[in-house]
Amino acid sequence: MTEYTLPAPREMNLIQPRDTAFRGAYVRLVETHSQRLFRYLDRAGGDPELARDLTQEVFLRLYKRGALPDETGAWLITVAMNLLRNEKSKRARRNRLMTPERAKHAHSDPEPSPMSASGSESGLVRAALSTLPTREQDLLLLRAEGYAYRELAEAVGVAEASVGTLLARAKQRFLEAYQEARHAR
Amino acid sequence: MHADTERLQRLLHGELSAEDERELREHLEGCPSCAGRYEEAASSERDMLSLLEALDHPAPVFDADTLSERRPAPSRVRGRVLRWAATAVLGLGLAGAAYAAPNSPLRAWLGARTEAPEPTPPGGIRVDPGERLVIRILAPAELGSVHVEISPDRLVQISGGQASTSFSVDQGEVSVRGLGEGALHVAIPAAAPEVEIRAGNRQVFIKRNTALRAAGRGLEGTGPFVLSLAEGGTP
Repeated sequence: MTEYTLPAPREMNLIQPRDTAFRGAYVRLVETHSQRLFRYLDRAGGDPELARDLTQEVFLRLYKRGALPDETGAWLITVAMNLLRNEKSKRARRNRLMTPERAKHAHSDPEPSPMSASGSESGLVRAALSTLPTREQDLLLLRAEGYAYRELAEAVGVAEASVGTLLARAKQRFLEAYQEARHAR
Repeated sequence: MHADTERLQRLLHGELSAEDERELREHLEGCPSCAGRYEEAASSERDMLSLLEALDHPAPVFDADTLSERRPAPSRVRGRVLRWAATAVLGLGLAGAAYAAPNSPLRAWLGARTEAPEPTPPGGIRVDPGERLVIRILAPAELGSVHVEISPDRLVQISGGQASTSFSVDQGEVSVRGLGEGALHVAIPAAAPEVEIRAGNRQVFIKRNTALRAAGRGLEGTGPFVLSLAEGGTP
């Protein structure tokens, strides 16, 4: 075997790292928001693997962006919501294109049918949640993660002055739907 | 005047200014009706939060380092998003390589929260192999030699050469310039799916899964191999 001596360290031509401030902020955002976004995506989509992938996707997009948005919380929520919506649409489209036999065996719907797990507590909760319009579901789930009214308003597209009222209404509908589902069991 | 739903919700969620909150709390103390509505709102909030927990699954751990090692699952994230994610992951992998480089400023950024990486060899570079990595020795590429071995590490380690040798990384390819008569040392992770070493356009060596092959020399096995670039390989 050939023996040789490794030369001394020298300058190397590597990619230029992003600036220090962005990197520090990025690390803090991952720490602060990743669990919250995962939980939102998991609850909204009903698929923890998809929630994990999409959470990573959100932060990869932020990294690629290379600069912090003005409203970081709202930006992260909006990207997460859009990714989930797109994934649901793609799956729905794929299911429509499948033959009935293949569709039957496909693992494709990120949002389990309320009927499929109606006997379990999670099935009841999901059934109740699914009775709300998507906007109200998002408001409830994101508020449950502690996002501020300003961030919710921007991400969901409602007036900030009415977020509290919308939340109260959504909560009431959700709890009533849950009680109905429970009694129907 | 009674408090409206919006204000009660804002009180519940800490969305009022300090002054507004003080005023409303004073009002609640003297208004059983509003106090009752507030208690009801708080109870609904607790019930909702409790019910939503039934939907939860164990959460994975996320941090910047985890993200930098991410491999997107092709079956789940497709099309444009997948291509973008792959590019971003590669970028993060390269950032990892930059982190491991001698005198890298990245280590100063992350030093407070990240353990020190494995020692970087002098004059070397570590690169995430990804799905496929090409190490290309640029002209003059027929004077030196390449020492290849399989390692248990996660990253491909490329080191050696001469004082004038430099390395650059771009899109899954490491370019080695100025090797001259120097000896390049390449340690390839056993788990790397495909790593190819090329001298200019000639293939010198390839590792594909568990198969190792030195082009044009009939060398196969577990290595280590010492390959003279002057001997030539498969065009």
